[in-house]
Amino acid sequence: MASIARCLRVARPAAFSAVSRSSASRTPAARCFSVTAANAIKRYTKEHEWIDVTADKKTGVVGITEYAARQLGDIVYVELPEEGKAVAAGDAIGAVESVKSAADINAPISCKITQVNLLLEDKPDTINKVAEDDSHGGGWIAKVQLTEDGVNEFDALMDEAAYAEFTSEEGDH
Amino acid sequence: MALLRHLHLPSAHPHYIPYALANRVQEHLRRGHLDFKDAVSSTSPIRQAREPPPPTLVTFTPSPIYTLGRRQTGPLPAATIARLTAPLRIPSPSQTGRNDHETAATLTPQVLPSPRGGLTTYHGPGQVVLWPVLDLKSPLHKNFTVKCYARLLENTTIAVLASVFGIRAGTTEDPGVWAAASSGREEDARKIAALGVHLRRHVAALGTALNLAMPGPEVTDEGLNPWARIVACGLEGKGVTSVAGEVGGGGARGRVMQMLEAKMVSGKDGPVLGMEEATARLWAGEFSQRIGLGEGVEVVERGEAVRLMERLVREGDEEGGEAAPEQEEREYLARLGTGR
Repeated sequence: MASIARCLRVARPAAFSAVSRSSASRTPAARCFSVTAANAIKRYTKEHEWIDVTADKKTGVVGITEYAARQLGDIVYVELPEEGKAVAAGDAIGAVESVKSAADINAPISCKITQVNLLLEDKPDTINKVAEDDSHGGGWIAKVQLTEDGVNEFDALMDEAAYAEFTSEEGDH
Repeated sequence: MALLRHLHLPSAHPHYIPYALANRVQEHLRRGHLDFKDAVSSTSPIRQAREPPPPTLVTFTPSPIYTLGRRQTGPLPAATIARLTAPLRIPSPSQTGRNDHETAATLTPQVLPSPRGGLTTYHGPGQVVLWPVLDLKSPLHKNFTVKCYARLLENTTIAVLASVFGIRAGTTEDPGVWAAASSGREEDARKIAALGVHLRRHVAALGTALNLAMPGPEVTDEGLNPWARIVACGLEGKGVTSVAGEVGGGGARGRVMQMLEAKMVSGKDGPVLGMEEATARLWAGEFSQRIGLGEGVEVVERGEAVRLMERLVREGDEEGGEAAPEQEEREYLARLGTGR
């Protein structure tokens, strides 16, 4: 549904409703009140997004991984998320386009988009250079506010070692 | 062992399938892959209940359409729209003597935004569009990264061009597949297949489009040559060609047909297929081998393809709103119903 919605987005902007409806069922209902260690605060998804959260797990920064950037090749366009939008884990929030392909960027966890990296509008290839840099001038994509579900989902993502193993298994074909 | 499914959506001159309907079929298949991935990654009990959906190749020859790339967000100038949607003369595909009651038709191209990479391109009669819908990380076949997948599509086309038509083609620094020039110079290569992929959670959609018989750059009349209206994929000064154009000379179309027939296992493939469907079938076999599934392909019968399209349009009707089918989709299906 998501892409037919995108295909027809100019003519039919309402089509996006179908996206949020289908993803709602994916969000775990459980709540988490436990407090875990505040170190090792960067996590990775199987779809090659990273998220770096503050020690209090209230806010975070999202981007695509250096591995993904290498796989995509020269990035020529970034479709940024919409500021202020609340999204569920797995929702398409934007896209990165290289010469041959366009790949969706998915929300790694449930969160609210608070800021997007406007630098990427003019310099999309920043992602090829510093994909995992969350500072000014870096290739980060959005700053987010975590929801309660989001904190839960964050804990379930891969840490750096697990992601390194995951990408080494993925290999090159 | 899983097989690649090949679903060819029929077109008969001058009634070509609307792009929107082909996209409806593609989205249906893609949703199957995404829903399966959701079920597997969640802890729900249906986890073990289903097999992963098989990879499926959707092929068709659409009614004339210009699709825009993801980057082209702003509205097109009115003059550009008028130029793109001006009437386009489509010659009868059968100048070979077969079906000579068919005559040229005048069709009105559509313009539609698409989620793929790249810039404006054209799809229409004389072309076969090849859209493999598969999970690049599926346990059923070889896995691919984005870059390798784009290369896989190009290499499949290059292999088919060489083995079926004896056409030497390759890749350049620009995407797509390019027919080698007799000069041997890369800058003289002409584009024979376009490429554009969209990925959502490793599930691929869109793909490639191979030009079989289309006007070459010598046809400058925009009423006859859809390529004359655009700078294809933003590549200034690059020519477009087709299989018939490379085979060359008068009666090229007939010879292309003979080459296809020579490659189809005679008799075993049932009724004589059109140029587009025959090419798609051979491409499917090549693609299947390259993803590690062997040469055998499960061909979805025409009747089943039509029933699937009818069902999806009916569901679109029931859902209404943005899913509601276009008038062209209904007309196309109604014609198929009576022409069956």
